[in-house]
Amino acid sequence: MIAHALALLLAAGPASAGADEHLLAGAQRFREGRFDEALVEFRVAARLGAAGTDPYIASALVKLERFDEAVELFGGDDAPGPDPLIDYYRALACWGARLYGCADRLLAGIGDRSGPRVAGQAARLRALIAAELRRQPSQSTVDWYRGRCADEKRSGRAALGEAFCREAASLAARRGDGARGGATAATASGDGGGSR
Amino acid sequence: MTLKISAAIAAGLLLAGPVFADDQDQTRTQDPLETKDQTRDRIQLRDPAANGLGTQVKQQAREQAKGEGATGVGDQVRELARDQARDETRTQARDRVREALAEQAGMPADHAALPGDGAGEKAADRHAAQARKTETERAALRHTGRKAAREQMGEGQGTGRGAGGGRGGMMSGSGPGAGDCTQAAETTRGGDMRGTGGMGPGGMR
Repeated sequence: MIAHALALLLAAGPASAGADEHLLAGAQRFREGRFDEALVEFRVAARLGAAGTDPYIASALVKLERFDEAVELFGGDDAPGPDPLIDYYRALACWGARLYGCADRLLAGIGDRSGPRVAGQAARLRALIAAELRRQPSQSTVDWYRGRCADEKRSGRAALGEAFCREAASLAARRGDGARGGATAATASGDGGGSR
Repeated sequence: MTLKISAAIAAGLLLAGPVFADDQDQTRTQDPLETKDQTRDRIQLRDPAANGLGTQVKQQAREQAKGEGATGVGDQVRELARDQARDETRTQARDRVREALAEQAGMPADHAALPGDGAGEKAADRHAAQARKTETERAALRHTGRKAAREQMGEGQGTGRGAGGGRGGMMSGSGPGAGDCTQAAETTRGGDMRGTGGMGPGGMR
């Protein structure tokens, strides 16, 4: 049904003036918690020529718990961006994809740049990540990340694959077997941990 | 000769008479409160060689519009107004999106759990169970939707038709029924996931 509506809207022709209306509609749906509809609105706005909509689309994907897609759309990078609010959603995408190192780096970059609520949440999430990462990661954990790295690269999601590779390397380094990581990642059969 | 000249003068005076009379009338009807500028404007308007002010502005606008590469003043003003309105809408749209994002920026409901060890496997199991539950709910909703559509069609076609009417209803109702059902399922899934699983890896993946 949604795809149908999208097709109809796109068939109406390029009307870039309407892109902002779709952004507004997307904002309204997002606010109401209708994230699937917000996602469609943001995508229509993007098709109609609205620039810079990827973070909005990815944020809607985060709320729809489609974390892998969100990480890919956000670019998989974990360097803080100009907007701390978007960085928070990037961190949530990483968290959902179990890229805790990525999430932690993004949350650390938020600091005082955002409002008190998001800053407080970021601090709490960092504490949770720190507690989980306090113990040494198991070999199976590292292998899981390496498998996902190979899987995602093979399936064409380069940014997501790279994010898993970085995570694997970081965890492997903490185990002291970083040198082994590259070779294993390259030859990983890509079981994917059975969670996808 | 003298007579001829006198007759010509007399005729000239007769012809000029009404003109002088008109001038006197005009002088009489002049507004005593009229300013010097207004008087000038009025005189200019009466001058057959000069156009009125409105006509002049229109003429200028026409000339500007005719110029190569130039648009009329009105067009330029309208274009500027459109640009400004578009910028305002764009800024407003992005502000609204940011507000919505800020409002919905919640916490993930589940703990951080590295995959591949005990906790991770449990999380994966939870995710699989959640996925099964979601699929079951969706199937149930699809079924309910089709059933409702079938019943509706059956009622619409009359109860006397019995089973045959019901089957026909199912066929024709499957399109919209399925669509509504899918949307309902998406909504239900979203609500359920948010409510029970949250955003963390344990409940979600």
